[in-house]
Amino acid sequence: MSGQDKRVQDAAHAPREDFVKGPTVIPFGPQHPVLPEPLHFDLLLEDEKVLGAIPQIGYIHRGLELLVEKRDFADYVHVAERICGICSFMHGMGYCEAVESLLGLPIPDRARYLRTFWCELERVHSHLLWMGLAADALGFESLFMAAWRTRELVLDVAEETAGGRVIFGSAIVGGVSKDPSDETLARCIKALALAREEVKRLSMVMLQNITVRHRLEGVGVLSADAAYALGAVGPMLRASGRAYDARSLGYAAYGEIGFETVVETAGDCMARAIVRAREIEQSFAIMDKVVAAIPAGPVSVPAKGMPPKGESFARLEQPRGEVVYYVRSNGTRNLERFRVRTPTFANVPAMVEAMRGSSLADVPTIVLTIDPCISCTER
Amino acid sequence: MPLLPMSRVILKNFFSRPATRLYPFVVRPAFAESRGRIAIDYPQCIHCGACARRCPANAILVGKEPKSWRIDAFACVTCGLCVKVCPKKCLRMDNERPKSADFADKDSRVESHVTPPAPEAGGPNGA
Amino acid sequence: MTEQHNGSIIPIEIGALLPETDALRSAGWRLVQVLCVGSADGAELSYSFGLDLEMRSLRVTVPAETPLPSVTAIYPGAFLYENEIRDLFGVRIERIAGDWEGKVYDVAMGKLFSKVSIKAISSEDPGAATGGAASMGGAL
Repeated sequence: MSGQDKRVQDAAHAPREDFVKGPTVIPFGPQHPVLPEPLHFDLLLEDEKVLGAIPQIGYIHRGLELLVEKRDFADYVHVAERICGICSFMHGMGYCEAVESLLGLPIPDRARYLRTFWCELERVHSHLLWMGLAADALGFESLFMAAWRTRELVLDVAEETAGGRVIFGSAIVGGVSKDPSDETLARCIKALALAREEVKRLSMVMLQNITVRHRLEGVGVLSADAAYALGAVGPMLRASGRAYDARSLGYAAYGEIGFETVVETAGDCMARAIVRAREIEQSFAIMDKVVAAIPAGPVSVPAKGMPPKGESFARLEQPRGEVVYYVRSNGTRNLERFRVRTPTFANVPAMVEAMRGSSLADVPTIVLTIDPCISCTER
Repeated sequence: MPLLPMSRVILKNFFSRPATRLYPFVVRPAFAESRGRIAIDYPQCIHCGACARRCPANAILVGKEPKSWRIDAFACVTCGLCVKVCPKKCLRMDNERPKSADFADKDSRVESHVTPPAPEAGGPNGA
Repeated sequence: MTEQHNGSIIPIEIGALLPETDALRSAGWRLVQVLCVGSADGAELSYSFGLDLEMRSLRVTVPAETPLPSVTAIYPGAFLYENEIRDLFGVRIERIAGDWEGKVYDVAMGKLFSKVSIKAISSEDPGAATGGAASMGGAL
């Protein structure tokens, strides 16, 4: 509801002398200690209280969507994967899913299970990254270090199975490009069990520490209705009590493996932290199940021929929430349009709403519990 | 007891070895599947230019006159497409990452192979 | 499964956009995304809505320079999509609540994704296609 508030709008465009009487405008970002990526807000304050915020993006727009017109549709997955460094595998995979449904190309079972495995691996490393950054923003340096040290264990598993630490590079149109052996997967599960123990302890510290709780509880409350109406997705929506998780669509192997939607009802920063902590725990369980049930067989089918004229959507659940991919083909090797609606893009209006009424010192905490990814947002 | 778990971590940190390695003296061996760098067996190269055309980062430059093959290690994103499309299979993915010290001066980041135009020339001429 | 991902796509007239959107909002649908595809004679916008796992898209074809009403009065969260589409495609979306006045992607060459402006400029003066950054800056 940013901008709907007439008072906020007027204040933003008021002549300078009116600032004395009206609310104070504080610029927040794009360079700020808590922000890993450039996002700017004009915060309108009355004393310490935030009346509203005007968001501004556009610092790192790279026009990657337009590049699809210049690249072969099968090669573009490498560009799609580089939209963002944290959700990289799912960007590549989402593009592949959309193109595969356009081609009517069913992928082998083993590839579906491996995709599920890597999706969950990415969720764990993204949530651990978030946990570290959030702890750092709260001034909890040792938790930050501990979370990122644990994340290294997960990244090693990623490199061993997929070949890259953050850019996995293993999703291709028609399946996956790497086929880790059963021994490798068993070894990885052992390494992940170690990480799981560590994460359990860290989550307990994060969620029970009295200082952390003081900073997070009751801060940045977003009601279920407001979150839903503003189109929030992912942990943001689930922390407010709405159970929506795009994994229920049953893409990849989620239909067979099954999972449980994590929901909290408080809607404050603490609830969002709890949702993420519980999701990490669940991701480990899903990976165990995937490796136990993974079928043998080929991991890719060749994507032959041109994509037919048409369009296709694909919806996935990224660590930050639901993401929507859209591809349209005009019958040539170069697609006509590729578009990603990333979770942070949908979460910005809700983030502004959550800030309203909080105090200035809480703004960094609120921004971080949304876990913004601006590279995704601007593409 | 919210205080206890973190104290355990802290105590463990006191009595255990550092979590980090003393890089570059101790290096973790690369995994077999790691995407480290693109390497070429240059004498096999037929200068067809397939790798340069498919490269998403435009890191590869294939010259026809004189025959040459160049890769800019800073531009390369090690996606491995060139390895996949090479008709002579003379490109391969090494699992060892290049060390950043190798790129201390600007010219060293471009790996360049040129075939001299002389008729008897056959071997690579690493620059 | 593909069916479920794609949902149904319903083509509608520009005039029907607001009433249809309003009806979906009252029925409890949330706004999933606003998508724009540029074409030689304008743009095509798809407003996707979601209810649980179902998805439904309303598709509007907008000829170049035709004004399109904003849906921000119904779905306030749409302001980011609409600002972006106006900046990148040059679609004239009117009365956006939370108007950034073309400053989302504040670049010298506006309407980067629009196919209309590029075509118009190259047909007028083929030589200026690359040097015509200043004349293309219509969105500034």
